[in-house]
Amino acid sequence: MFKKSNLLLSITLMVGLLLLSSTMVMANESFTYWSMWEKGEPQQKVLEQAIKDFEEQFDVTVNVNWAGRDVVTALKPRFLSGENIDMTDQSGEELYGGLVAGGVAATMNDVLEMSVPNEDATVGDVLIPESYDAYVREDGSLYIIPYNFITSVFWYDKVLFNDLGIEAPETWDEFLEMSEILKDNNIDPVAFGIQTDVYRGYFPYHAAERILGKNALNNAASDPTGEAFEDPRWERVGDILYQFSKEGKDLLMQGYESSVYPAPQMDWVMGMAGTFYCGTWIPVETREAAGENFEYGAFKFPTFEDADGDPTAVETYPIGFSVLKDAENADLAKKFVAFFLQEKYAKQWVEVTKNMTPRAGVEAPAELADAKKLLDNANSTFRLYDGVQADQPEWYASVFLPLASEVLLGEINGEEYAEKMRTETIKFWENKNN
Amino acid sequence: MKFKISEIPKYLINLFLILWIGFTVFMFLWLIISSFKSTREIYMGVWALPKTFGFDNYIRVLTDFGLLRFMLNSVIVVTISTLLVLVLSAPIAYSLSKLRFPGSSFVSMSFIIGIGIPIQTIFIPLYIMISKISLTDSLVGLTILYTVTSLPFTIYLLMGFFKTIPSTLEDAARIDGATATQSFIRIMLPMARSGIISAGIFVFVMLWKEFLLALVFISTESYSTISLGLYSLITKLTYTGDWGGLFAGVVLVILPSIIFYSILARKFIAGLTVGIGKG
Amino acid sequence: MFIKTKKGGQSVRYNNKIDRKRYKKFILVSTIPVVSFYVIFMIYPILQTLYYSLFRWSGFSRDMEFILLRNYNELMTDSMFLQTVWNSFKYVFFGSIIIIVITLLFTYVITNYKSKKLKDLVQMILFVPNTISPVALALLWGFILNTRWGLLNGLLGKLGLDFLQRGWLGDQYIFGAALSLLVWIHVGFFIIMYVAAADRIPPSLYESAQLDGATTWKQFTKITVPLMKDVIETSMVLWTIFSFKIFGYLYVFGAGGAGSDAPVAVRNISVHLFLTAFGKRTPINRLAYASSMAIVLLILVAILVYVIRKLIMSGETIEY
Repeated sequence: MFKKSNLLLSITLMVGLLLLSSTMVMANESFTYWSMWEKGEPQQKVLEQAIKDFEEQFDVTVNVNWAGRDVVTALKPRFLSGENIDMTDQSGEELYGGLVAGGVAATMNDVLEMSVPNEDATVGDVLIPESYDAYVREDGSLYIIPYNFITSVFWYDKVLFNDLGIEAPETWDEFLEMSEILKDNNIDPVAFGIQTDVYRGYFPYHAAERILGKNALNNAASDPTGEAFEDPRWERVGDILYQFSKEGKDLLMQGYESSVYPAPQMDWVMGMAGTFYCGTWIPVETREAAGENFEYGAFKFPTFEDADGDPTAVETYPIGFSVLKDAENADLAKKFVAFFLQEKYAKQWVEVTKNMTPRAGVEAPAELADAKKLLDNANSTFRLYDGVQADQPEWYASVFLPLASEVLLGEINGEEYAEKMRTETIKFWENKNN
Repeated sequence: MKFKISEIPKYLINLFLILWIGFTVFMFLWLIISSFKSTREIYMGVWALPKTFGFDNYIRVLTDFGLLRFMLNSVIVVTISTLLVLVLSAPIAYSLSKLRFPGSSFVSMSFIIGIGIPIQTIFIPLYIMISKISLTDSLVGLTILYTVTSLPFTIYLLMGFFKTIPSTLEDAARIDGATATQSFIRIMLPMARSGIISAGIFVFVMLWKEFLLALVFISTESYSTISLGLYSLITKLTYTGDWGGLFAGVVLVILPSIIFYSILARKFIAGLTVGIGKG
Repeated sequence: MFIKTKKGGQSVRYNNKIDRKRYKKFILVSTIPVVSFYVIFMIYPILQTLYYSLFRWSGFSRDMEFILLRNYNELMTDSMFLQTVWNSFKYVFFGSIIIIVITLLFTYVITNYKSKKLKDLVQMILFVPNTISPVALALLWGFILNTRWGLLNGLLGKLGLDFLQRGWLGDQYIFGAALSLLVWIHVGFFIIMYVAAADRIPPSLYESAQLDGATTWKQFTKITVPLMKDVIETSMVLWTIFSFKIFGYLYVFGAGGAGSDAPVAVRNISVHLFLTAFGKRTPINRLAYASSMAIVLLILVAILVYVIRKLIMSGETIEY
C-alpha cells in the first residue's frame, strides 16, 4: 500500500514538474500596444486581424488595449506610475506634441531599415517619403512610422459642378470665379463653421503656406520679438482671409459664425454649400448622408501669383505607430510595425477604412482618387497648421485661433491682422517669460 | 375652477412650467424618434417622422457594442459605493451635528469645503497612489474612489437631516441608560431613515453619471462603466458619421436610467418630504 | 467640556462625566476611520498638487524643474485663464439668480397643487435631466441649438417668430447657451429641496392671511419665501460649488465631437484646467501649470463659500 501511493505521488510530481516546466518554456514573448482606435471601428478591425496573424506567425502575444482617441492623454498617468507600455499610435501632430515633446518617445529610424516580413523590401523602401518626411527632425530623428495617410483638400460634388459647368479651380482668381457662379445659383461657396477650431485654423495656415512657404508660420510663432510678423506678406495673408469673411467677398456659408461640427459637412453634403475644406476622412463620414447623386471630387487650396510657397504643396497628416522610450519590448513592437506595413494589410486598410495608405503602389479608394493625385504631384508637403499646434500649443490656442476668428468674421482686415499677430505674439511671449 | 384675476401669476407660471416640461418631454421624444431615422433623414427633416420605423440603428449598435457589460459594471460599482458611503457617513454626520465635541466644527467645515474639491485637482496624485496598490483599472479601485469622493456631500446632507431631529428622544434614551451606539441605532436611524434614503438616491444618481474618474482610472472595456461606454460610443459613431446609430445608442443608455429613476423617484421625493416635513 | 448650543439646530446636552465617556467611544469610532480616508484620499493629494504646482512639468516623465511661484505669476497674465475665471464667476452669479428665481416660481405653483400625485410627477420630470450622462445632454443641446436645423430655431420658425432665430452657438450667445443647459438641469435639482421645504410649513401659519383674503401669490411671497430662507441659502452655496466643479456638460459643449476643444467662452476653470493638463486636440500638456490652476480654483471656491456663508447665513433657525 505504502509503496503504491509513494509511486503514485512521485509520478504525479514528475508529471506536474514536466507540465510546469513546459509552460515556463511556452511563456512567450509579448508586447503591449495601446491603440487610438475603438472596438468596432473599421480601422480596429484591420489592425486586429493583423495582430492575430502576427501572433500566429511569430508565436507571441500582443496585449492590445483599444483605448480610443484620447490614448495619449490616457497614457500619461501610466507613465508616471511606471507601467510598461511599449507602443501606441496617433497622428503625427499629437504624437510629436505630446509624447515627443514630453521626451518619452523612442526614435523609429531603425524601423525604416527593417525588412517587411514576408516581403523582399525594407520599410523605408515601401513607404512614401511624403508620408513622414515632414516629421524628421533637424537631427534626423523620426518618431513615427505611418500606416494611415490623410491630407486635406477642398471637397466638392462633381455632379453639382458638372451641372453648373464649373471646373475645379487652381488659382485664387479661379476660386473666386467659381464662388460667383455658385452664389448666382443660390449656393454658398464654402461650407464652414467657425466655432470648431479644426476648421478655423485651416485657412490661415494654408494661406501662410502659399504666400510665405513652409515653416514660416512655425518660426513666426516662436519669435518673441514679433519681428517675423513685420514681413509685409502677412498682410497679404490677412487680406485673403478677410476676403473669405462676410465683410470681404462673403465666401463662407450663411450662419458660419455659429456653426459647429457636424453642421458644415452636413450642409455641404446636402447641397447647401458648394465646397468644403476638410480632411480625407470626409467621404467616410458623409457617405451615408450624401445620397446617391453625389460624387466626391477634390482640389487643393488655391495658389497665388507672386507667392513664395510651393504651389504644389499639400498637407500631410499621417497617423502611425510610435514606440516608447523605456519600452521593455521595443524590438518586438517594432517588428509588428514592419509586419503591418505588408501590402496585404495596406490593401485591406484602403478597402475597409476608405483611407489612404502611405504604402507605395497601393491605390487609394475611389473617393480619394483626386486627393491621391494631388499628393503624387506635390513637390513638398507641410504639417497640419505648419506644426504650430504641436510645437506651440499655447500660442496656437491663445494667439493664432482667436485672431483667425477675428479676421474670418470680418472684424479686422488684412493690415490689422498682421499687426495684431505681431503685437499679440510679443505680449504672449512676454507673459510666458515672466 | 373659477378664474380669479388674483391668480394670474399662478396661471402664467403654470404656463411656463408646462412649456418647460413640454420641452423636456419633447426633447426626449425627438431623440427617440430620431434614433429610428437614417443619418440623412436626421439632417433633412428635423421634424419629419422617419420613413420606416426600422430597428436597424439599434441592431447595429447592439451587436457592435458591449452595453450589457457596461451596465453590469456600473450597477456593481455604484451600488456598492452608495451603500459604503451611507454606512460611513451616517454615524459621523450624527456625531458632527448632534454631539458637539471639540474640533467638530473644524471637521465639519473641512468636509464642507471638501464638497468643492474638484477631482481634477487630485486625480494625478490619486492615480499614482492607486496604482501603487495595483488597483487601477479595477472595479474595486473605482469603488474606493467613488466612495471617498462622495463622502463630503453625503455627510453634509445627512448633517442637515440629523439637525432637524429633536433631541428630546435622545435625552429620554440617555436617561434610560442607553449607550451612544444603541441610541444611534435604535432612535436616530429610524427617524432619519427617509433622509438617508434620499441621500442614498442622490449619491446613486451622481455616481451613475460620473465619468471623469472612470475615464482616468479605467482603461479596458471589460471594466468600463456605462458613462464611459456612452462616451466611447459617441466618439466611435461620429467618426463613421453614423448619427442614426449614435442616437440609438444614446437612447439605449438613457432609457434604463430614466426608467430606473422613475421607479425610485416616488420613494425619493416621499422620503425627502417626510424627512423635512417632520416639523 | 461639552458645550450646550442652540446654534443651527438642537444638540445634546451633557451634564456629567459618564455622558462624556459614553459618547466618546462612539464619536471616535464614527469619525476616525472616515476622517482618515478623507485625509488620505482627498486632502493629502491636494498637498501633492500644491507641490507639483511649484514646478515646470509636462507630466510625461519624471522630468521636473523647480520654479517656485512662477506658475502663479504666469496665471495672472494668462488671458485664457483669466477669461475662464471670469466665466466661472459669471456662471455663479447669473446662474444662481436665474436658477433660484425660476425654482421659486415653480415652487409656488407646485405647492399649490391639490393632488400629491401631480406634485410628485412634476418634480420627477423636472429632475430627469439630472439622471442623464452629461455627455449625452451636451450633445443633445448642441443639436437643439444648431442654427440651421436645430430644434429651437425650427420651432421659432414654425411659430412665425423668425426674427428671434439666432446663431446660438456663435461667440455672442454661446455662453448663454451653456448657461441655459445648466439652468435647465439644476432647476430640477433644487426644486425637490424647495418644494419639500415649502411643504413643511404648517398650514396654520397661512390661516390669518387667508382670512384676510390674500392671494396665493401674496401668501407665497410674504410667508413661504421668508420661511424658506435656509433652503435658499443652502442652494446658493451648493450652486456656487457645483458651478465651479461642473465638467462634463461644458467639456463636450460646443466642442463638436472629438474634433476640437470646448470654446474658451464656455469654459469654467475646471474644464480649462483639464485641457491644459491634458489637451484633447491642442496638446498643451502642462501638468504643473494646471496644478497651479487647481490650487487657485480651490482657493476661490473656499473664499466664495466662506463669504456667502458669513454674509447670508445668519445661522439661526426660524422656530415655528
